[in-house]
Amino acid sequence: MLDLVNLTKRYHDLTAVDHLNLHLAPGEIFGFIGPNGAGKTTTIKMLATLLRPTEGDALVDGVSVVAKPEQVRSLIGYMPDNFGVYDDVKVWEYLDFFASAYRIPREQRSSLIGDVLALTDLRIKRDAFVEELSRGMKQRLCLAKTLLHDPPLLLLDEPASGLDPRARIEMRELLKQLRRTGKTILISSHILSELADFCTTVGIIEAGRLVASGSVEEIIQQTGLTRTLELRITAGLERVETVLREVEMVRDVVVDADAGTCAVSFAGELDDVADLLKMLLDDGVRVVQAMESASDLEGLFMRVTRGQVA
Amino acid sequence: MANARPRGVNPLLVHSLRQFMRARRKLGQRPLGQWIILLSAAAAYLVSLASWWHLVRPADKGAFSTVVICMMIGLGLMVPGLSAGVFAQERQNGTLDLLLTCPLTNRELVRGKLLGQFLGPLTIVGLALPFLILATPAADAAMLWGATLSTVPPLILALVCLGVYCSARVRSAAGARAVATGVALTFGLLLPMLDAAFCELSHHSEPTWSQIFCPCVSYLGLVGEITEPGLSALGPIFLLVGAVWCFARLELGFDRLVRNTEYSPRRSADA
Repeated sequence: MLDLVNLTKRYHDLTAVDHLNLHLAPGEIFGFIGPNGAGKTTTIKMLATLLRPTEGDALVDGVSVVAKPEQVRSLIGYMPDNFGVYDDVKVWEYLDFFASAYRIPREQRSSLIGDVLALTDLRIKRDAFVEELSRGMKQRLCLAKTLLHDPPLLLLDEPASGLDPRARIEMRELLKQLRRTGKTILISSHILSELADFCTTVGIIEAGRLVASGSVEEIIQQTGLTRTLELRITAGLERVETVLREVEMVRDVVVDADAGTCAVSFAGELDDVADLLKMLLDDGVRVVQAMESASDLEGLFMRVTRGQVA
Repeated sequence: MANARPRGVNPLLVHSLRQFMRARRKLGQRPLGQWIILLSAAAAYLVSLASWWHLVRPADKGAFSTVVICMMIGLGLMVPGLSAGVFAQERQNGTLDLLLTCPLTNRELVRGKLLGQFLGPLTIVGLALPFLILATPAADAAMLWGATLSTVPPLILALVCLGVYCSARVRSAAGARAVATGVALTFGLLLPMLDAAFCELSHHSEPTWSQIFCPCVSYLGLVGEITEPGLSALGPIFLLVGAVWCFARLELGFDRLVRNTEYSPRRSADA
C-alpha cells in the first residue's frame, strides 16, 4: 500500500528526512515515533503531497507522489497535527464542502455525511457551527472529513495532541474502530502507550533517519535490546535470582522482597518466556503473575534514540 | 468515485457563497445596540435614496459620475483588502493544508477563489445601483452605462486578481492586505493626485475632484473636463496589465506560490 524509496528532504544544509525506506502492507497500522524535530511531520507532508521530496519517491498504491500528486490526493486521507476550521459554516456544510472537493456526487453526499458523523459520534452536532465545537470534537470532525472519500491510506499526524484524557481515550477508541475497517494507517504520536495499544508495526525516526522499524518484537531482536518481564511470586522468591542467573538470555534480575515481585531483563523472544516460567515452576518458585512491562515501547524508544534532531 | 472528472459548480465558489450568506444570517445573533446601528444605516440609505430623486438633474451627467466615483473609491479601498485574505488567511488559520490535499486542480482552486471574491464588490455595486439608475440622464444613458459597464467589471477583476496574488505571495494575512491596498491606492489614487498637481502647476488650471479621485472614469470620458489624459490614465492601465500578469502567475505558478512544493507543472500535468 505504501512504499518509501530513499525518501529525502533537504532544506539547504539541513537534511530533515534522510533516505527513508519503508514498506506498509494493506491493513497495516504503522506507528511513527520520534522526538520533536526528527522528521515525522516532514515525512507525512511529503506523503500528503504538500512537500516535494528532494530525492527518492513514495508510492501510494503504486502511484508516485512526485510524478502524480493529483492521483495520490484521492488515495489518501490526511489529518494534520495543527489544523483549523472555517468560521461561519455548520458541521454538515463543512463536510459537504470537502465531499464536493473530493468529487463525491451530490446525491451521495447526504447519506455519506450521516455515516461519517455516526462513526465519529458527531451526529448530534450536525447543525452546530464548527467554531462552537470543543477541541476534541474538532479533531473528530477533521477525522470525519478525512474519511469522506473512503481513502485506503490514512495519514494521521498527532491526532490526539492537545486533547484532554477523556477526548484522548475517545480518539483511541475511534482509531481502533478504523483498524477494524481494514484501512492502512500511518500515525505519528508522542504518546507511545497509545501507539503500542493498536499499532501492528512501529518505526522509530531520529534526525531524519529510521533507526528501527517492525513490530516491537522485531525491533527488540534487531537492536539486541532486552524486554522487561515483571513476575509476582508468592513462594520461593529467595531462589529466583540463583535460578535465573543461570539462564543465558537473562541480562539482569531485580528482586523486591517486600513487594514479592521480580523484574527480569530478558533478551529472548516471546516464546522463550514460557520456558523461563516453566523452569521457575519446576524449581518450586510459585509464579502467580507474569507480564511484560507496559512501558516497553517507551523504554525501547529511550534506548534506541539519542535525543538528536535533524 | 473520487477520481471522477471535475464537473458542476466550483466547490470553492459554493463555499464562499455559503460563508457570505451566513455572515448575513448571523445578523440575528447581534446584540440590540448593533441592531440599532444597522437599522439607522439602512434608514439613512433609504432617506438618501429618496432625496436623491429631487437632486437629480437628468440633463446633467454630473450626478451619475459622482455615484460612479463614490462606488469606485469604495471598491478600490475594499476589494484588494478583502481578496488579499484568501490564501494568506487560510494559511494562517491552518485550513490551507486540508484544502491543498483535496484532488482539486490548481485551476479550480485559483478560479474558485477569484470568483468567490466577487461577492463583496457585487454588494457595493448592488447598493449603488438604485442611485445610478435615478441619476442617469435620458439623453446620455447609452454612453454612460456603456462606459460604466466597460470600466467597473474589469477594474473589480483587476483588484481581485491583485489581492489574491498578494495573498499567495505574502504569508501573513495582514501583510497581504497592506501590500494589496497599498498597490491599489498607489495606482488608483496617489499617481493621479500627483498628475493633477502637476497639471495645476504646469497649466495653471484647477483639477476637478473627479480627475483626482477617479482617473478611470475621467479617462473614459464620463467627465468632460479632461482633455489630455496624462499619468492619471496610466494608473488604471497599469492596474489592468498588472492584473493579467497576477492571474497568469497564479494559474501557472500556483505550485510554487501556494503549495510551496516546487512541483513542476509539466510533471503534475502528467497525472
